[in-house]
Amino acid sequence: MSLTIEKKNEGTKDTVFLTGRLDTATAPELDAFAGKELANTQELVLDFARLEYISSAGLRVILKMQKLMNAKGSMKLIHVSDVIQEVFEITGFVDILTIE
Amino acid sequence: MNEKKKKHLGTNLMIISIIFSLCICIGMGCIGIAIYYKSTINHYKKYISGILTMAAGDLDGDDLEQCINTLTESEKYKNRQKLLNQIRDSYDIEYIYMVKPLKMEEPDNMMYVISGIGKEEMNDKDNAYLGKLSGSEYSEKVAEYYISAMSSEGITYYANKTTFGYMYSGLEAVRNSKGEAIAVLAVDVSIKEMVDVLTRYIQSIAAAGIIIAVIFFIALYRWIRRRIVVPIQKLDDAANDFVKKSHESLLPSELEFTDPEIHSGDEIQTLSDSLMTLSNDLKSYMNTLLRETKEKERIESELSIATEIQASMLPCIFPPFPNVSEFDIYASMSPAKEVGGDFYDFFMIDENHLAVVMADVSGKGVPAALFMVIGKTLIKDYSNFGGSLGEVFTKVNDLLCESNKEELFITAFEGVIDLRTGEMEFVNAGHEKPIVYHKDKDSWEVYQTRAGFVLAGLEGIQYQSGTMNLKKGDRLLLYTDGIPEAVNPLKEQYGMERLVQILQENKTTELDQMLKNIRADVDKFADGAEQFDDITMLCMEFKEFK
Repeated sequence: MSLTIEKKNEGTKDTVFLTGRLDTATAPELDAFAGKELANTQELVLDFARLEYISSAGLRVILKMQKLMNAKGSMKLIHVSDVIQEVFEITGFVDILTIE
Repeated sequence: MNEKKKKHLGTNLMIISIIFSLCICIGMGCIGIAIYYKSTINHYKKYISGILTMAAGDLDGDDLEQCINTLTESEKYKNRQKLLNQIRDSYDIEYIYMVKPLKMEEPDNMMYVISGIGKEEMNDKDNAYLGKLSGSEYSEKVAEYYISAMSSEGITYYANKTTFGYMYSGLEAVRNSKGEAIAVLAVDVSIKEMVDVLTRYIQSIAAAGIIIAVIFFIALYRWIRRRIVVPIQKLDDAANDFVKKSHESLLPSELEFTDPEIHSGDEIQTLSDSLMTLSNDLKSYMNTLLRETKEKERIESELSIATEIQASMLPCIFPPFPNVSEFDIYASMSPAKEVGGDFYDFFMIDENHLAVVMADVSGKGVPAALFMVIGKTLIKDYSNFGGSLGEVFTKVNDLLCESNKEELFITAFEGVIDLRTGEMEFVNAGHEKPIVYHKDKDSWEVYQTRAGFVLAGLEGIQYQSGTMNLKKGDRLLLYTDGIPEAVNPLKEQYGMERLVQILQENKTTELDQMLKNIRADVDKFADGAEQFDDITMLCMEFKEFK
């Protein structure tokens, strides 16, 4: 029931690996991370390979990050599992996210 | 509990100071005695050494040896006797004599050779003479000094207590021309005077020591009592008093630390000040705690009122339309926290159109609940204005985006059923898919709709509405993700399959009972695991065309 956030930096490109569950309990961690670690990021890649679950609180943070990156660069999601892809489809997030 | 008797600082101090004073006196006494003894004895040694030199001057060892061996008094022997007699009379000595040590053991371990006899003793009968044996006059220990003096160079000194009092003696070997020792020349000096001086010294030192110890003790005791014991007792009393008060009363105002009024300027004052600060801190901490507890209680009571308000905002009287026979409707919500972010709604737009709404605000608690109130009001208001549902959600979304600093969003589904035809227009903003029971097929179907983006996420989203048809006996279930995403202790999700399964089992059950059964099934699956999300359901059964 926890979330691990790891960042790999390549210049202005940051890849963030999320492991575990992004729910009400852990979403504030990602929110805080996004608030202070992405100041110089122009290209953000979120690696969802090891993300098991996303709740509405998690979606909220993803939306917030998408809006943040819209203003200064780009954001894309990679390795999104079927379960999470389904959540994105149900909630219409597929329309606003770049998922590869 | 440790039943050890409480020790008092004062008693301990008294014992320590007495021992300390005694140690100082004994130490000083010993040093004084040692110095005096050493210097006095050195004086005696010089004195004895001078007399021995005089008495042994020009002594013919060979002649004396002859006298000893034959026990006859030669001329030289007689002259030596006279010399020793003169020395005996002229100097402050007890004895001057020559002996020949024979053996260690008593009796008769010595043989007298010559003995200086004073004028007053001339007529004594037991005066020593050449060849007289010593009887038991010399103990074995003393004889040892004489034997050792025979084989050593220079003067051997020893102190001894005899029947004549304390003596200090110097012994020197008398030698013949071959250098062999033939007798021992001895001088005994009384050291009674020195011993008397020392005795008096020890007595006065002891007396002074006791006086010093008493004065020292009284001074130290009074000082320590005034500076340490009394302040500590005051502190102890104040602390005990404080502890007692804190046990007896829960009111911080009655929790007063009595200032022990210590102004010694040392560590004890610091300790006292610290205790004072500590107790004041404790008091203010208790005040804060009390205030915060009250505040918390107030917030809790307001939260419970908020829960009631929220609950009362949702239609909760069932059946809501007792005079309507075309449909049955039932809904329930159980929030995970006091106030939830889920909501449902249903209302008649006009006499022929029933609207049903199911929505979920991202996040939980008070912020989500407040956002829910805005969302619910906007959806209902704009639904009543007419226009397609797509247009309703497009408008509601734009309005929600305006007042959304917190980046919250709402997933929502709304359907409007024409009771005359069974046609349902719907719009889905990122919400869970509805489940429909088709009576003719006797099956529940998860209605696949392409959902639009969530409400309040991005401004300017255009929502599209769709349509489906309900027939007599069909049921429609709307719900939030709290059901399919409920987890058990193994972290497995409840899922859609279980939901469809329990729905099938309850296809003919009354709506209120059906929802209760679903809830019970979810609880059974969760098996005690914490409910993370609000669980909200709405079910409608279409009974007949209008």
